[in-house]
Amino acid sequence: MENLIFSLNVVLPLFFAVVIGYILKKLGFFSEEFLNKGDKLAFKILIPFQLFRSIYTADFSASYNSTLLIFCIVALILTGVLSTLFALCVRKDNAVRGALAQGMFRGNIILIGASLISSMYNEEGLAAISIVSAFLIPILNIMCVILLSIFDPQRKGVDFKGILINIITNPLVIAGVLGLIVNISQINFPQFMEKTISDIAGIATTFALILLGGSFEFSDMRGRVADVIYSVVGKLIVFPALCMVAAYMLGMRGMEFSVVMCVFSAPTTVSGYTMAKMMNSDAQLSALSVVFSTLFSAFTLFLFIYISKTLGII
Amino acid sequence: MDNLIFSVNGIMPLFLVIALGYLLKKCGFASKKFIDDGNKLAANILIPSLLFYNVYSADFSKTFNASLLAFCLGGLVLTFSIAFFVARIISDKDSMRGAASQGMARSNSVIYSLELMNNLYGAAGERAYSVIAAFFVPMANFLNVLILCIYDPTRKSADLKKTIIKIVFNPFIVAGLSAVALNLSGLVLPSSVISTLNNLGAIGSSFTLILVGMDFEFGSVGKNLKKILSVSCVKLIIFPIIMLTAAYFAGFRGTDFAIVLTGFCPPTAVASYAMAKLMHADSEFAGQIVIFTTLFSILTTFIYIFVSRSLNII
Repeated sequence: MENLIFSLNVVLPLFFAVVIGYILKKLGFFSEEFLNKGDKLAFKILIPFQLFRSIYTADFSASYNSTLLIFCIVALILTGVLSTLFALCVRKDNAVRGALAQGMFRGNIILIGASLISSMYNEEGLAAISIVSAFLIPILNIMCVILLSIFDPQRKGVDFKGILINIITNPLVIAGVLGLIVNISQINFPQFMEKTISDIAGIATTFALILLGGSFEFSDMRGRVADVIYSVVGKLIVFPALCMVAAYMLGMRGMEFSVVMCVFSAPTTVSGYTMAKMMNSDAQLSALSVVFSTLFSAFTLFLFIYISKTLGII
Repeated sequence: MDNLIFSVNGIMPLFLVIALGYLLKKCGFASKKFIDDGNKLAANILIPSLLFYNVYSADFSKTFNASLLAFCLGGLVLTFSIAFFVARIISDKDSMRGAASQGMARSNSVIYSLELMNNLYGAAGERAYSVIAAFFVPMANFLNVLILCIYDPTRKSADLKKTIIKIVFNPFIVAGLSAVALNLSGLVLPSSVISTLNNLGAIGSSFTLILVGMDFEFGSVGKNLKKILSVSCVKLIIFPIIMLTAAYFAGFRGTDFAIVLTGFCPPTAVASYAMAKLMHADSEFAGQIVIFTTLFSILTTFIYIFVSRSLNII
């Protein structure tokens, strides 16, 4: 019973925020412009602030864990490769292949993963996932750019210069690097600066979750059911299960295990949709993957947390 | 030196978050529609959640202070009455008188005050203030509308009825009073609902402060400058000094004194612009007052905190 309540308390507040966003959109609270500008604000300013804050305040000697980091990087690359192979086998259209593969492995680490773990372990959990994300996010970005370029129906070859610029100018990457620099050089901000940074950083998650709900579109599903099922089952069940079993076998427990769980069980991320649209991939499928994986992740995340808690792994 | 740091920590985060909002606007992150929708989100969902959470989780037997509440409500009646008469000296036009009295007496006693209390005394301070605010803010709203009605140049009594209904069903008031009722009745909400409200509320002040910064427009002050200065002077210097002196002689110290400070020293409420428009007062003038008092309040609030701290009152 206690585990049940614990799991519900972790998962529900997150989804309530998404649902509130969806309802407000339906009630006409949000214009398209608000959602677009808000997204820009969230992903270019607020979330980078949050990442910066949790990295610069992290106690590296306590939160840095090279086994965990290497595990996550290897697992991420493997899930990417497996998704791509799967998409190659089941679909012939390149645009669909790109969007399908991306939907199967590109998780919402920074938003859903991070807020899950921080409601389980507070600041300490956030620090642990932030350090991992600082590496995973650029890698994930590179992988998706390569993937979508390969499957770009109007392919012009992989644009390595473009990828590089994309990575260097990514606000999350900049924030992560700055956070590392401040942390290592042991710069201490005065209290009022810290308060300001934490005020701004504190807006990120809830605001982005509300926007996420507001951006949900249940577009026409006809002919897309199979693709959506592939991507949701891959993202929410197959890959998380594989990664968690592997993590368990390797002896990861407690917060370490939870980081793996949160990184790999998070639903498909919205930024995949934007990228799919930009790179001529199947944007409709991307949007559907985001909506359905986010919805069903409420159940799968709950289950994963509940089971791991009951088995005493976390 | 300690007192200086204490005061800087109290006021700087507020200023910096507002400044960030202004900067973001200059970088193209804001638009009229974004600010409007954002304010709607804050006024209807975020801030009410914040107040609800604070009042609901407050321990009334410890934080409720009847004499402090009576003092604050009396202070409102006094300041609004003085403002009503001073407005007659400032202008001979009713539309300007309405905006001026509102500008002098209607404080930004939610966002600004909550954030200030939080900076000074952490979450406990925020809760203590919220308990007072649950009664204080409805009263301020009521007095404000009353004066705007008297100075309404069109004198449409139909509007008065509509406005009163609007005020009674103001989400903020509904949230505050229902939280008082729940708290006193001892009913317990599920903790996932409470965390959701806490999450929503936690972003309320900072998000709204960013919007305040985004909404700043300089220039076009010209002909109203003298009037704006008079109003700001009453709002930021005369009223706070009257209230703080009275509070001192009434024997309030520590958090209690800080609550009076936080309740009466903030700049003019942002909502007063919309309110002026609704009640046919000079809304352009009202908007200019908001910007002026917000800017100068950084300095005056700093001084009040610093002096009270140095005199060992807080």
